[in-house]
Order: sequence, then C-alpha cells, then structure tokens
Amino acid sequence: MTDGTQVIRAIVNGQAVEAIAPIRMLLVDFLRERLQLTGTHVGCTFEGVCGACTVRLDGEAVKSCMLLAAQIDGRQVTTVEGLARGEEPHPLQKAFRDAHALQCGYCTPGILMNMSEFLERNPAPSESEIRSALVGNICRCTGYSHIVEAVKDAATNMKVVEGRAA
Amino acid sequence: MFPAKIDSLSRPKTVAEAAALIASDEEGNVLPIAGGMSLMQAIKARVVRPGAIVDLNDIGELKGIKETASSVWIGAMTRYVEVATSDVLKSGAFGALSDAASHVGDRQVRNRGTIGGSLCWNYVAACVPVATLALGAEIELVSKGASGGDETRVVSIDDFIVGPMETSRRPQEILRSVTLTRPCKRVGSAYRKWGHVTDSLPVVGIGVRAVLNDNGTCKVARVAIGGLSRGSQRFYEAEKLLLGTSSNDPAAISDGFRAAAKTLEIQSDTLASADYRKVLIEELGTSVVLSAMARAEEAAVR
Amino acid sequence: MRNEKFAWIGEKVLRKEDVRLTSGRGQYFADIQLPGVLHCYIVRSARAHARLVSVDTSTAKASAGVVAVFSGEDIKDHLDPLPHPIVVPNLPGKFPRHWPLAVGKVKFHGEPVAVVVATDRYLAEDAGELVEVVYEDLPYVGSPEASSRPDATVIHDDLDNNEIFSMSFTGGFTEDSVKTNVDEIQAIINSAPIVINRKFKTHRVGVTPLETRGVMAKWDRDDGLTCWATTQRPHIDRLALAEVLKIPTHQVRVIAPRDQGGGFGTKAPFYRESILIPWLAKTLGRPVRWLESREEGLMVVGQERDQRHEMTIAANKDGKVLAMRARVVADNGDGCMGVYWGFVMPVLGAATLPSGYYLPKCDIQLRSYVTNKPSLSPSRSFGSYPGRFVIERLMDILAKEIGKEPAEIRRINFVSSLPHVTATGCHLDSGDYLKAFNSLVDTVDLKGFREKQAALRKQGRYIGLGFGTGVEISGIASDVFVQLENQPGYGSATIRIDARGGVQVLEGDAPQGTSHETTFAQVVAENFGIDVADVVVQTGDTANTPFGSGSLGARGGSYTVSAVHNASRSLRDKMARVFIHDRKLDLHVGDIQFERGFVFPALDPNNRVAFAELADRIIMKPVNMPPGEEAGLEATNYFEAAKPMFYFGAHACMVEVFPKTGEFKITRYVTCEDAGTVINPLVVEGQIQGGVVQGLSNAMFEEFLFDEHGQQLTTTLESYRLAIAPDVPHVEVTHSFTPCPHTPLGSRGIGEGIPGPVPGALTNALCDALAPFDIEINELPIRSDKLWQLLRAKEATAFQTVGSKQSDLRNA
Repeated sequence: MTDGTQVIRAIVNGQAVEAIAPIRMLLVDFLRERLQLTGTHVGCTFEGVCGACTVRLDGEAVKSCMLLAAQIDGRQVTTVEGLARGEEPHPLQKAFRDAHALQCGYCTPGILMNMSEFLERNPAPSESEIRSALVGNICRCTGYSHIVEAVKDAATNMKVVEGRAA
Repeated sequence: MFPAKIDSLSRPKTVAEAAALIASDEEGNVLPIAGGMSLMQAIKARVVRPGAIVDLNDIGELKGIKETASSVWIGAMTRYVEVATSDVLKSGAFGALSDAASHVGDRQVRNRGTIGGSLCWNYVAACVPVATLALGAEIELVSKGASGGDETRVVSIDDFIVGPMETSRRPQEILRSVTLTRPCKRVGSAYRKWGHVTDSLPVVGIGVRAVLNDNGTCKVARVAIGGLSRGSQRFYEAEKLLLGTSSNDPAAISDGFRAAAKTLEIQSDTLASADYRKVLIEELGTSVVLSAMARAEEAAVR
Repeated sequence: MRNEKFAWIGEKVLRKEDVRLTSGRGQYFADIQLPGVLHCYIVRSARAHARLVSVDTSTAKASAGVVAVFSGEDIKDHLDPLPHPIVVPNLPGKFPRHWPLAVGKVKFHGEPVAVVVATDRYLAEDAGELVEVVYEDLPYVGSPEASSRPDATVIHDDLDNNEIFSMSFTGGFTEDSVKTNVDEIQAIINSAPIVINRKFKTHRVGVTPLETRGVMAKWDRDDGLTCWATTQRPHIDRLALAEVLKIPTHQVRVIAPRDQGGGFGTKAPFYRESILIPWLAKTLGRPVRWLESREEGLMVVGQERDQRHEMTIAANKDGKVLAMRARVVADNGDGCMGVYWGFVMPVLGAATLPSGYYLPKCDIQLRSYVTNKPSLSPSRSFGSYPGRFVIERLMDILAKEIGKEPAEIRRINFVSSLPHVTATGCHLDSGDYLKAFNSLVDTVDLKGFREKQAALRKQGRYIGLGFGTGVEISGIASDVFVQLENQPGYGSATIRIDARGGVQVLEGDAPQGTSHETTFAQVVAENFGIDVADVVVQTGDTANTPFGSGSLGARGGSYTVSAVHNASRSLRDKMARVFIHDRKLDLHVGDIQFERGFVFPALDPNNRVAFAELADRIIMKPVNMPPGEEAGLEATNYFEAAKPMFYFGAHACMVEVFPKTGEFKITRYVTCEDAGTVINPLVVEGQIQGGVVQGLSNAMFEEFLFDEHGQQLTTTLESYRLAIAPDVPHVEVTHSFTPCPHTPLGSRGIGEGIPGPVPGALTNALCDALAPFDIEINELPIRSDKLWQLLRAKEATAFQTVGSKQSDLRNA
C-alpha cells in the first residue's frame, strides 16, 4: 500500500491479529494502542536505551520502540501478557514476586521479556553475566540487586521445567 | 519523537529486488533499513525522513557467515549476536570483530543490529567499523545496473570508510557482504573500547591485527581507532611503532602508543579531555595488542 | 508461626501489587483510555533566553487532524498566571509570574511556547513542526556567578534582579540578630586551634523516573473537571486547579493512576503542564491528554542539586567541631515551578546542613539565583544531597588534619543525646546515631580493613574505605510544612469495613512504587486479625480519599501509616465494645483479641465470633447497639506527630582505585539504617538498595550539561547516563533499631534521604584509597577521568603498578 498505511497480520501472544496501521507507527504504539496490550511500556524518546519496551520478535528480545509495526507483518511477537502459560506464571514472574524485584513495576515487563530469552540461551548464568545482560534495561527503583537474585532463582527453576519456550 | 510520514514500506526477498526498488526512486527519498538500531533513532528524531523504506530483513542471501581456507564471508544482514557467537570468528585472526560485536549496545540491540548496518552508518564512535578497519576487509556493494542486471563493486574497507557518518557507498547501492582474509597462520586480532558506562558508545575504541614473526615479534600490524572526532580511522603511526615489539616487553608497546598518540587529532569534550584520551589510547592500545599477539600465538599452534 | 496468627508487621509479605505488575496488568497513566480524547504536543523554546518576537500558529492550525493551537498570547488573558497562594510557600523568596506558555520571552531551552491539540500524537507532532517562532536573542545567563553580577541581565521582567531567595538559617530573624551570630561564629573561628576552609561544588543532577509525566483532563458542565495526572499529590493539585482555573473545589477531581512508574519528587510540583491541559479541556470542551516524552522530561524535570558551598569549620585539637560557617549558593533555574519555585529544595538543604552532628554554633546562609535553565525541581534527597556530601567530606578532611580515624571524628561529633534542636531549628527527635554508626563500623571490620589496606599498599594496590551519614526527614510535620509549602503535614487515611468483613483503606497520597498497597494492608490486617489478602488499599483519587499532602518526604512510613493504624485501631476498639456489649462481658477493649479472622476474649477463646459476622452485625443489623454507639464501620484518622521526625542512616563504601587511569571499582557497599519498626523488611531493603544506586548514579554517571548558549546537551538517555546493572554494586542492608516514640507503631518513614550519604561515602573512600597521594575530591561528579586529573595534578600517575603485565583498565 502506498497511502502510508499497511495491513499487518501477525501472531501476537499466540493469537492471530490483523489491523491496519500507519507505516510510521512504532511497534510499541501498535501493541499498546491498536492491540490494547499496555503491559509493554515506553521510557525514552527515540534513543531506544531504556529497554522498557522489550518484547520478543520470533523469539528474540528486541526493543519495540525501534521497530515499525509494519515490520512484524508475517511474524510472531510475544509480550509480557503472553509470558505466563494460562494461570501458571513463568518462573521469572514467580521469582520476581518472591524476591521483591520490582517496586514501581514500570521497567519490569521489559526485563522479564529480555531475561526470558537470556535464560533460554544461558541456563546457568553467573551474577556478572546477569548484570551484563541487563545493560539494555534501566531500573530506577530497585538498584538491581533483587532483580539479579530473581533471575538467578528463575534460572534454577527453569532448569527443572524442561522444554519451556516463551 | 515519532517518525514523519512514511509512504511505503517494502520487504524484498532478494538483493536484486531490493536494488531495483532503490533504483526506481528518482527523488532519493527511499532508504534501505537493516537492523535499524541507528537508523530508527534518526527517523524518530526526524533527522532523517524517508518517504519509502526498503526493509532488508527478509533477504536470506544477505545473511550468514561462510568460511573458506583463508577467508570468511559475512553477509551484510548478519546480526551482531551471530557475529559475536560465531566459532569461525572467535579468537585467532578475526577476534577483533567478535570482540566488537559482543559489546555493541546491549543484547536487545545485538539481536537486531547488523554488521552491514553498522558499517554503512559509520558512527564516529562505533565499534564494528573500527574492528573491520583493523582486520582489513573487502566490502561488496551491489546496485541495479543500467542494463537491468546487478552491478557489483568491491572496495577495501580503507576506501569504504571516508569520514564520520560518511562512506563511499553510493545512495543506490546496498552493502552485500564483508569478506575478511587470513594472511597466514600466525595472526591474531582484538578490539576493546572504553566508556564511562558498560558497553556504551565508547570514548575510545581500538582494534589491532598483528602478524607475528616466528620469534613472536610483530611483523606487520593494522591498528584502527574510533571515538576521535575524525571517526573510525587507521592509526598508521602506531602500526609503525609496533613493528618489532613483542609481548615480552609491554612497556615498549605502551611507549609506542604514547608517542603515536601525538600524531592524532584528539578532541576534548564532555566525555573526556584530550589528555585523558591519550592515557586511554596508551592503556587500551597496549592491552589490545597483547591480546592480539596472544591470539596469534594460539592460532599458530592450532 | 506468626502468619498463622495473622501477625503481619515485620513479615516479608510478598507484595500485593506484584501479580498484576509482572503480568503486564499495571494501570499507569498512559494505559488509561478516554474515548474521544485529543492529544497535545508542546512546542518548546529552541533558545535559552530570548524575546518572543512572534509565534505564528496559522500553518500549524491548518495541519491534518489539528483541533486547536495556542500560544502564550492566546491564553494569557483567559487564564491566571502563577503565583497563586495555594502553590506559594511561606518563605521570603520571590515568585516570578508565569503562564503555562511563554509570554513575551523565553527563559530556558525547552520552555513551553505553544501547544497543538490534535486527534493523534503523531499528527500533533507534525503540526508542532509547523509552528513558526521568531526569537530575538538575549544574553545567556548560565550560572549563579553570572546571574549575581550587578550588570547581569535580569531574567524576570517582574523582578529587580536575579536573586530569587536569600536567607540566613541561623541567628534568628532580624538583621541585628543575624549579624550578632555571624560575629560570634567569626570569633570562634578566629580563636580555634583548627580551622578548615574549603569550597565544594555539586553538579546539576536529579532523579529521573522511568515513567514520564502525563496529564489528561475532561470537563463536564455539570460534573466539573476530572483530571488524571502522574502526581504524587492529587489533593494539592486539586486545590491548585480549583484556585487557578476558578472552579469550585468540589467540582474538581484529580486522580493519580493506580500505578505510577516512580516519582522521586519529580511528580510533586504543580507544573505548567499541570495547569495547561485542564485549561485546554475546559476551553475546548473536549477531553485532552498530554504524555511527556523523555526528551521533554530531561529538559524540564528532575534537575536539582547544583549548589556551591563555601565552608569553614573550626575545631578543637581533639577534633570536636566548635563552629561551622556555610555560604551556600544555588543555581535556581528560572524558578517558574509551582510549590517549589526552585529554591525550596536548597532551603531544606541549608536547614539540615548540620545533619546528625552536634554543631550548636553555625552561620548558614543561602542565596539562590535565577538562571536561564529549567527550574530546580524536587529530587530524592530533596535539597540535601549536596549538603550531605559537603559535611561528610569535611569530617574526613578534619580527621586527616587531626590525624584521627574518620570514624572517630564522627563519633566525637554525632549528636549523642536526643531529642536535639540544631542551630537551624531542626528538631531531631529520636534514635541512636552512635549505635547505628558503630554497628556499621563493626559490620565492615574497620580494623581488619586497615590491615588489609596497608598490606596491599606495599604491593602497589590502593583500596579505600569511606563513610557517609545523614539525617533525613521522616515525614514533614505541619510545623515545618506549613512554613515550607503552605500545606499541612498530617497523615490521613480512611478505613472502611464492609459487611462481609473485607476492608478498604483509602489514602489520598499517591504511591509510585512505594508499596503502600502492601505495607498498609499489613498494618490493618494485623490490627483486625485478618488475612492481608482481605485488605484492599486504594489511593490517589480525591473523590473518595481524605486530604493528604502527598507521597513525599518519607511521609508514608511515618505519618500515613500511623493514620492507617490509628483509624483501624479505632474501628477495632469499636468492634470490641460491641462484642463486649453483645456477649454481656465484664471486660475492657484491651481484653479482646482479634486473630485468624475471629474476635474473642483472650481468656476465653471459645466465646468467639467471626470478624466478618461482627462487621455485618454492626453495619447491617445495628439493633441493640451499646448506648451512644453509632452503627457503621468507617473511620478517618488524621495523624500528626508531636514533633518533626528524622531518621538516621550510615553508609560505608569500599573501593579499589587504579591510579594510572583513575579508574575505580566499588568492591563493597553497606548501609545501616534506623527505620524504627520495620513493617516489611523486603520493602525497606528494596528502598535502600534503590536509593543508594540513585545516589551512585548521581555521583558518577549523571550530569545535566548546557553549552555556552544555554542549549541543553543532555536530552537523551544516551547523553544523560543512568546507572545500569553491571556498573553498580550489590548493596548490603543492615539495621539498627530504636523505636520512634512519636508514631504508634514506632516506625519511621524512610526512602527520601537515602541517596544523601552516598556521595560522601564514595568520595571519602576514594580519598582514603589515595591517601598517599593526598588528593581531595570536593566536586561532583566523580569519574575516572576527573580522578585521573586530580592525580595528575599531584603527579601521581607516574606511579606504576608493580609486576603487572595486564592493563589497569577495568574495562579490559
């Protein structure tokens, strides 16, 4: 289409969606406004540094403010709303609650999505590896200590539950 | 904050298709997008206002890392994370590229950003251009030719990098691949950067490829530096002063960088003073050379 | 064991907020949708100081999707400017007149100049680009030094000069008494055996919450104004809006969203946007929304600290401070910010400059100067971050002068007998500072550290240990708050029990990650002997909550929770009275127990009634009530502590420094806080860890910068760097417990001041590590390049580490 809009057909959190959006619409705005998935947050302008908007595109953790919605046509996206399996929380969600790894919760969805991918690739990370993996997620409230603890705990629990994919 | 209006987005499946789309635009208002980790910043800031975007992310033939006896071919759309985790590139002759890709931005950026995008953007402090310059590489550029077929042009990385944010890629060209060559066995490379914050755009980044004599002394070196106002550049003076040095005498290597730094144009800015950059150049340079030399020794015995 | 009794206070209760927040079901400002809402884009000044020759909105108005465009000229005759009494403190400062959009001139890069209202945000920004502004540049006044010169350009047309605030904090209230005090301190200095003079500089830096600001408003002719805002102070905003927009108060409703992504003070002021958006809604008769971008936020909000201190301390030969003189200068910015006006923060900083030290003889004066920058806006450790840095450095400098351990100098100088009124009139109410400090010193094993330090120095390695301490406000008593901000300090809460035994807590202050939903529920649940799950806390809606001055200054754990406690106690007592009456018992209220969902006499547990059943009886079946007892179970309590309260914290930081490059690493960071009764240890620990990391981020990474024309250079998170996980240490939290005698639970509010002790602890550790090189760090920020420069000035970088082939570089 050349009128500046595009039809987007994608699988979001396991469900097929179809919507028309302006080509210039950012993926994060598409998710939040067109699909009402407000769990993904915006924390910076155009620099793409804060990581609050992190989602998983075809399984990979990426910043949804740095993508156009039109770019997910034909792809799969998972947001924090799709992290749990029905009523069963993801080990990361449980670990975050147990470790008090969030205070205002604004950065949390982005961290959960990033860490869910990170742990799939690195099932037994050290504290230093976890901290490095969090470079792309800014948190202002917790000082990161509880977050690191939660990720470590989740790693242990994820090893026990075999074959989980996000 | 938000992009200006974009009229169209196309997602070609082949390089030929992409080249044709770019060639069809006469107003120069069409922009190819790779990972978008830099370009999207500019588009959102409205510094860049493409009317049409050609999304290269579906082009399979632009992806991959292929090794031959003495060279490595890397498709332009290969992600940082693939470059960083490739066994072909880790350590040895090509370690500098692996080092650079491993620490760009953050892991979300590395999942999406590409080697080709980084080279074309050539940001003044970027890591991949510096590492590639240190290694020496052939850059393959392709466009739709006047006769209708593909026209390919190969330039050396030295000719590709022109200045900060400036390359010799013509507007209608797409960067197709980066080819690295291993000149011999006893060669190693490394890249490191220094910033105030982990993995941030560096204040200074240095890449070195060292070819060693059998006795371990440096036979020939390529040194590249980024973060200075002239952007990614070869550091010829350092290359000269490295000749004959060895890992047994790090002080000589430091001395070389200290002296060579005097020939560089070094700026003072909000990140660091020129004097501090010189200290970093000395420390970073020494460290990178020692790593490169160690890798060369390792590669020689493998 | 305790949870079986439903005794929740002191327990690590998992937060009630977290299930929804980890599932993406938060309800933040930007998540709230209003049908038909219009979106605003604010056009901001491109210059730091200029006359507005013209603002042409005609092209913008014709742009797609645009409903209206306003400039300052368009609104100034239809809207009162500030100041308005409700947002003006009782302080001897000046309050520059300003409208939400610039009228006549612009005074900082980023000041709102025009606003576009359109059908979506993307279109609004398109139109915003079409607003044409013509500026006539004026000289940029970029520092207090430039601003205070007699020939300086006066920035505010309605003021005579750029001095917006000037006051002495010691020596009483008359010119004569102040002079007497000045002379007295001078005399002490003249005759003291030890005199230390130093200048300190703290950079422009603050706290940036991850969620930016937002305001959304709708106007209905009959219902009035409803306004959603990211605010820490919905009730104050309500009063201000009513007053400025001339709407009866009962027709204004302000709602702070259930979830807010951090505030740290930045969501407390009554900003230009706070007025503009509601005014637009009323004027256009359509709902209007504005969501701040990070760029706007960095240009306008969260710029604080930025103070210079010229200090003199006089001490006896044992290191006891005899007198302190401080001349404090603050870079106020334009000062156009309701409630705070830029200078209220430095005021609190000057008032609490003595911190926890016994300094009865002080001469403290503060001046704040207007500059072409955004106004200072509140940031955690409100106004006192620079002062804590200064006094903690002075203690170490004094220690070096005397030849004693910095820890010892602190012990000698801490206030040891509480309560204590400082030279500035601050009432330090309770606590045991020595006990907390000594506990910290034990935890870090100072003696062992010194041995290790000496041994490593012989190997050419430099480790250091530094302390930082601070008293911080724990809530703000009306005594102080009325003075400071024309607002009351009491905490307030309404408790409402329903006929099924569920309990609602209604709080007017709006939390932003501060865990009220859980900690308040813990207190209530314990009082009623019910499950935490059966207590629901609702906050921030002025329609159904009692007046509260807001979530700030650690009021939550000090004042508000006390009101929650008192209100729930009064209902518990009432229920006990009815129970006693119904069962015809000859007992007192204190003999009745509330436990595990039942109510029974302590000595006869079988004679019980379910809590829910008793509630139902009192609400739904109020027959045969005790004489004089009303039906219903709802109570509101307003809690005011007898005296203003402070809490005390001590921090220790350990570092290793690499002199060749100035790089350093924090190897250990430990705190010891006296929070009194801790309601939820997890929450307190999280607050402390977060506060320390904010303090470190301020000291090491963040800095707001302006070029020589006043252009802001730090408007993205790439240039304004926030601390990320690999660059900060794990913070170990320890406690020292003394109960607070002024609150019913013995709790103190904490959180506000935690960043305060951090810069002192860090810089003292660095100076301690580099003691052989005799450097002093008296300016912030501190980074490796700056440390290297200090070392170079002492020609120390020639010193090589011995025997190491590897680079010193931390990053290597």
